[in-house]
Amino acid sequence: MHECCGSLEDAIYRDARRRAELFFEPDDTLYGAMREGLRAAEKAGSPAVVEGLGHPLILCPDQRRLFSEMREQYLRPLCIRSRQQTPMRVHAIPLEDTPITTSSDPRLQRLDATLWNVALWTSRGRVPAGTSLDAPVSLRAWPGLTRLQITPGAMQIAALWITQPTGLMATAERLGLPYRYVFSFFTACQALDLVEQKSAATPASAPQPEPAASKENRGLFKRMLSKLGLG
Amino acid sequence: MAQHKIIFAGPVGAGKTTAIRSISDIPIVSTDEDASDMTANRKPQTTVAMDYGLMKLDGNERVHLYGTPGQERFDFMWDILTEGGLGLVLMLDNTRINPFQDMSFYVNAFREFIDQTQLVIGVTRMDERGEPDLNRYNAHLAELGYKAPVFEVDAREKRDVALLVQALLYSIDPGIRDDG
Repeated sequence: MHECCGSLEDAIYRDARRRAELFFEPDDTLYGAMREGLRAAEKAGSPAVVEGLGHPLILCPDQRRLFSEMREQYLRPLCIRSRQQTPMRVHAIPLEDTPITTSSDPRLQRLDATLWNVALWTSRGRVPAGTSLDAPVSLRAWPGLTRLQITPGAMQIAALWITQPTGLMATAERLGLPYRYVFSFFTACQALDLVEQKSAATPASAPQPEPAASKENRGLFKRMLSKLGLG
Repeated sequence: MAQHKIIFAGPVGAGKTTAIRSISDIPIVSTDEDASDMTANRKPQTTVAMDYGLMKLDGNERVHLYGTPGQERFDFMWDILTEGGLGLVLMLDNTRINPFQDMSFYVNAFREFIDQTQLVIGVTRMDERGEPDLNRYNAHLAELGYKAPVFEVDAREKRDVALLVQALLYSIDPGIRDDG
């Protein structure tokens, strides 16, 4: 999980002098280049390509697919390099310039799954610059977690944000999770446009009291998760 | 001995029986019969009463897994089956003519139960037909007044079904923690 959630200790998140370590600049990363590609594709109404990586990444947002010969093991380290270190060019391409392939071609990947992974590998426990640490976060919809990489605490965080908008710092404290798990999950959800933050001035909803039935069931639920191999 | 239950619902052929089999500790008790009506177009055998599976937990605790019959003419059984249930796992088949109509039907049929518990949705056979995608399922579910987990699943895969159940449990209580 280090490659997705990093290794920042909780004390760093609470230390105002080290605040800058909690953020990354998306536009300076491969993640930002992919987002730029998606915007270019939407504007042109055609696929887009990210070049400069050895193998091009062809983004086909209409089909929610990505075509590339680059394997994950090569893509992952590129996520921690800046675009100064790895210059990238992003532009739309005509549909007829995309490779003809079949759905079983391993080079044809799910766009959402790759974008989710790239966001996690870029985040490593950080959030995009400009993100409020305190403004309540809500989830528009659950991410499709059976087909996405699941980071620690993902289900708990999603279940909280879908019903009770809660700030990033408060989420970790409320669920008893390391801050880095919450920050990485937020960044991945944002990559798929699943989260929104109310303005920092908007108070988070008061935590709802836990229903008695919920507390009664907590032991049962833990045993069920353990039984299912997920506890 | 504590007894609990989870309800699996959905149209004929959506994978309820298979999903229960994936996480049951016993061979499932099924009441499949040869389909004699339009159901036969989708599945040669179908569940006419219910499916039953069981998760055995430590301390003799049991979680019963009930699959409701997919045919609407058995809907008189649904209230009986859901009584005391922890939540609803709704299975939908992406290759059916109108899976959103199926979603509306089952969400409305079980609305009272869902409002008292929680709902998760597993969409099967998305590998055979990619459209509609999960975004559209989520949008339709929102129109019905719910924001619940909607996952692509292969009902034969224990991991997929286990994640659906996990999402159901966390939806009921996000505060479940390994340490306490």
